[in-house]
Amino acid sequence: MRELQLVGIDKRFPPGVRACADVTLTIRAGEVLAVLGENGAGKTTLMRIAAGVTRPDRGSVVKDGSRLALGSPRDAISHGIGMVHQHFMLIPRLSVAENVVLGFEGGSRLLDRSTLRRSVESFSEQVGLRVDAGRLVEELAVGEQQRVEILRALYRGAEVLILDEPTAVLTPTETDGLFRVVREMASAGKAIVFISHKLHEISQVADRVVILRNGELVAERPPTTPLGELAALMVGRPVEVPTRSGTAASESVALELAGACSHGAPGLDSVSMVVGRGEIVGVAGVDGNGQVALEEVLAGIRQLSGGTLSLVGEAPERTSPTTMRRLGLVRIPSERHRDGIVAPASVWENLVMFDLHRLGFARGGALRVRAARRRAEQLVEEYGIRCGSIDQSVGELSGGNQQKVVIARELAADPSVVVAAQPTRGLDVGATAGVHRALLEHRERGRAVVLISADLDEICQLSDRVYVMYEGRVSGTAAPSERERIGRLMAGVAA
Amino acid sequence: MSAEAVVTSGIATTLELSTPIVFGGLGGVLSERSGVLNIALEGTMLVGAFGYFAGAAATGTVIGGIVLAVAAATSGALVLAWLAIHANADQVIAGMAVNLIASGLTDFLYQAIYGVSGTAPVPGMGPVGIPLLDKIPVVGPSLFDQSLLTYLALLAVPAVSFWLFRTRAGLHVLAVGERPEAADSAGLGVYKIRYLSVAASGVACGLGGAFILTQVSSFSSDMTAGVGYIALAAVIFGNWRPRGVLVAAVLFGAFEALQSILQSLGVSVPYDLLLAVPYLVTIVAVSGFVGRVRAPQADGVPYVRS
Ligand SMILES: Nc1ncnc2c1ncn2[C@@H]1O[C@H](COP(=O)(O)OP(=O)(O)OP(=O)(O)O)[C@@H](O)[C@H]1O
Ligand SMILES: [Mg+2]
Repeated sequence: MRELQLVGIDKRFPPGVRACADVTLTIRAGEVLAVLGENGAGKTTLMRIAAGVTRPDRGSVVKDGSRLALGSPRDAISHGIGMVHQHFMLIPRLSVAENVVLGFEGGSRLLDRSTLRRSVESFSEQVGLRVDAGRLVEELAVGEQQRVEILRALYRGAEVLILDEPTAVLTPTETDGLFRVVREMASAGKAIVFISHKLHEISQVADRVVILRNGELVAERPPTTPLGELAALMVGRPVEVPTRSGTAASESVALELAGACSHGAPGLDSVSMVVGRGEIVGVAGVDGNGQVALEEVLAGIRQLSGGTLSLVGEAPERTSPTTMRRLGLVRIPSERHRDGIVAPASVWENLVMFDLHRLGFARGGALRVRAARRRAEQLVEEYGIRCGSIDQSVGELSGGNQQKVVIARELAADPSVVVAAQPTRGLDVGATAGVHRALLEHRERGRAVVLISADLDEICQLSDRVYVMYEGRVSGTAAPSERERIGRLMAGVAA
Repeated sequence: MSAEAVVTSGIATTLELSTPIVFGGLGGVLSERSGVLNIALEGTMLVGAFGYFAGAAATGTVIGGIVLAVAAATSGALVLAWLAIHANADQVIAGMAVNLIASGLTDFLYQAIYGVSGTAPVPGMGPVGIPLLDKIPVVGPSLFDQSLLTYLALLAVPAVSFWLFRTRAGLHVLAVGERPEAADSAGLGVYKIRYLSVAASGVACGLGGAFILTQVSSFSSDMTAGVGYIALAAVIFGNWRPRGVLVAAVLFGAFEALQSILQSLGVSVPYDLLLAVPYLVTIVAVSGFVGRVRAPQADGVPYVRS
């Protein structure tokens, strides 16, 4: 294969969203093509069309001059086009080997598990993506699952490999590993499409960058283009990156954990930390090192099995989300879809749901709909939430706007402590800047923020001080300027 | 009765009562492993029982009965399949609908065809001893002197298990029942696999219904009397595995057998309470006391291609 062309691709979704607008794009063998764009710009839709998952309204996919008929993913696979989806397409209760060969088992009607496993393992060594083929996918870490996804695409004979936000869930080390694999595949003559919201990754891995905005292809640039320019092309206007100003002013403590322990895998192992008023305290760490336990302990969902938690001087014996909220602590949850929003409910319902009593919107069990809606309108205005109307269901909004709904709801009560867990995961540059601005403003008002994030850039950019978590413990503290040291602490290397 | 006779008849009755539960349970496993929740086991078995009756009455043969039982139950199952797979109906409601239709329709057809007075009993299937083995004391006359359908049920358990977990086709069924979108992107025909699995479940239920009828040789309304629901309980208790279904079916069968033996010995036991035992045991099972049971991830979730 020399090149794959998308020609004049058009795609609309009801009710009138134009996800792709006459996009023409060439993907060449031996090169890594980065595709950038805001949330909802149409990156995923365009690539799903190339991978045979979605059918375009108009336009065609052309490989080396001949037009392909892509009726299903299977057709695309047979033409050597493979895609690793934003949300993985693996079957958790099947083994790695079964997932890799599914649908391509070859001759025999019987399954010989050990042969299967050996052949998948030897293939994985051949392409340099080591996996333990006998394990169940549900037992694997995200990074390993992604290796399985890539391995599967290669096993099916992919010459064009589309990676949709592959680094969103990876650790810095895993990301480096992925980039190595991607570069190797490109030099072996494969064509790689790489979608990401992290602009600084582009120069590390891409040969060429295209930018989508509102479904249109608006620009093509070399990977050396300044990040500010790329961001402006994506959003359509310059993006201001909010920065921290001044040093944290206060000595008074808003939140304190002393020797906190909690059960879980991993739980917390005597974690001590102090968060003062008017500062953002970053909690860095690779996913799965106790951040979820910390988040849940602070939110009052999980109980401490040892140590103490005190909030504005009070140390509640038993915590619950209600008591923590009453004491002025709110959370922006890491599992946005599960814990942050009620997807089928409307924007206004989501915006006021926790505040019905405080704001007097519920009298004697009856909801004062008109007042609550007015309040929601205000918040939509104030936080720049983009939605058709406040009656639209939150599930229909883009990821960035869903997160704005959560942030608006949580910050509206002016809480004394905000626990923000992975607050910008999956969000585009513009939305990320919006979230960062909201957190920084909260800090300016003399409130405290606990920023739990696996994104080292975010941590260094926003925090006044940094704690690093490793295997449920605080492995060290650092200043936000000590990026290298934080990276080492995250990897569990003594620093 | 001698103690030996009590044990012999206990085992024999247990197996007899377990047979339709095994068939129904295997049907449930086949359907639900592919992602179609099957509440309709009861109705499908009832249709199977009626099919056997009609087939055997028309042809005067056992084979005629079995063929019609399987055909009728498979058609019933395909109604569920259509509702669940293409009409995207709520699968609990679709299943209940099939049960209600089965109950009404079999009643109606029986009256319409055979009239109020009914018809002569049709040929049934008595126990068939396995030569030599049936001479072994206690286990001989209990285990090895059963209906051919009981032997078939017992053989079907390892067969279905092998098919599901050791063949390519079985892997495809599991994939479709766990994550249809992943199976689809691997090029598997999700709808086709689901239809075939539900049809296979109909075949199993047809045999189960036929067995119930061969025991009594005549049809009466709602004669499955909840066996399909017990089979459903066996599917859950058995963790959606054929061998688990067998264990559950034998356990539930044994409770019922115990009840009838106690009654024949003149011990009075509250009948209704014993009837509830399978359901109670299942509630205990799903509440996590006996290890965890876990349904296929996409069980009951219709697949809509985006
Ligand atoms: N199945 C669908 N039904 C209706 N609308 C859809 C569907 N899939 C995508 N859209 C809409 O099409 C637009 C483009 O979505 P797409 O997922 O391609 O964006 P994206 O660039 O991948 O965004 P992100 O960075 O958030 O992943 C969005 O407005 C989205 O809401
Ligand atoms: Mg996307």
